[in-house]
Amino acid sequence: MNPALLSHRIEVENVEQVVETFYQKGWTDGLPVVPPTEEKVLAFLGAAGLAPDEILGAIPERNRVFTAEKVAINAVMAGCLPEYFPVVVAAVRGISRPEFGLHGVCASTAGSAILMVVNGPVAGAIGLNNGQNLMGPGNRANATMGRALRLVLYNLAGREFDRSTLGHPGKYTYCISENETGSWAPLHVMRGLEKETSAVTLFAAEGPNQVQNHVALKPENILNTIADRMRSLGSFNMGGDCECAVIICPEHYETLIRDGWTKEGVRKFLYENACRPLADLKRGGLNESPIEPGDEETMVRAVSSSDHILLVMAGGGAGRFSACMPGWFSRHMSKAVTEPVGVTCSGGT
Amino acid sequence: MTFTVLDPTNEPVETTFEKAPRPESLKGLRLGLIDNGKKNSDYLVKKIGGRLRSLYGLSGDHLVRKPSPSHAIPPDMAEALAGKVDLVVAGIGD
Repeated sequence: MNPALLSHRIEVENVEQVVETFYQKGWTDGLPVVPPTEEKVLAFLGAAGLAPDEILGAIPERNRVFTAEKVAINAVMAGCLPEYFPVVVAAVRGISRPEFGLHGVCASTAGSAILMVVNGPVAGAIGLNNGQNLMGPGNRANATMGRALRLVLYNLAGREFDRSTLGHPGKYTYCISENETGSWAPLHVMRGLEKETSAVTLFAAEGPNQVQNHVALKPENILNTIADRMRSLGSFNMGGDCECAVIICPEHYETLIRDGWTKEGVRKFLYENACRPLADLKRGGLNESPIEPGDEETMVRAVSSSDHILLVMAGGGAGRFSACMPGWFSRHMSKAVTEPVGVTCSGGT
Repeated sequence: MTFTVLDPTNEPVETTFEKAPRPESLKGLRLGLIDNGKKNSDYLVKKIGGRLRSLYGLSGDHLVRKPSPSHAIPPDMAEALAGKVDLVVAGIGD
């Protein structure tokens, strides 16, 4: 016998009526939705082994909780398949951890989106793209799981709180996986999990800042162009104390690995070289004190530790384009979190 | 032929709380100020505090700074403040 679902039922005549009704009620992100029927929602709950009333997470500041049933409804609407649902569940648990600071992340005028990086066996099993056209469009698992997380925030977290000035396209969907075929430790391993554990890392991030370097043959020169992108005066990485995600494309990776560069080495180089003089911050008004002797030589770093760089290898095999995604506001308000997939643990607060 | 779909939204969980008793007069009461940690928030709440003191005869200006603008004031900080003041002003700056 199926568990009873508690959500209000709406009777409709056809799919078109569902789409239009959900538009009229303000229940979509602006795109059409897949009708969330009871049959589909039960299939999703079954795939994750969850009871409908299980609480996956919450935003305490808004008195909002995310039950498995409501999250499943939104995942169906996003176009997910049942086998994606355990990853969506892990993502909802992850963003509900206190250190992620979800209320600030999805209320701020700064308009970050939640980057999902899926690692481990589940990524391949459900067909996540870690290659060409990494950030899409074109792949169902990437597109719909990222969208599911946004619909959860839209319909369950109180969308009226989202005061983003500009937003960014990642707020529709922002889900990638890592190319784990090389010799570098995958992101979830760098963050303390076993390679065979599946996990999703969540990070409140700006949009991807592409780094083009088609000509450099030396690893340090490639990394210098990435470091230069990381130290933009207009990002929170210079104005605050944030983490930063960095994606190294396969061609850049090949150049780095040929000279023996590890992830630890790359992170250390970027930590040391993504910096600019204190005088620049004063010229930009990020520090309103007058420029003093020595400020041209006093360097301010984009990240305060090499551990604050989330380093991922991914992207198409052709092209020397890497990227960085600066963080939101401050690590003291939101830290990246990594949540195992398929492990039952408390996510709410 | 019709079929049914499920409502994807929720409502806030209802909670109850009691308001602190309101004083009949502000004269001589001790004022606390909560700076939420954003840039210039301290300037704003201090300005408000000064104005309230001059208008209503409040005393003191005990100021605390929250460690994070988007999180609630930590319970230990709130309890410590409650032991030192009679009312508080919480502000936001940007």
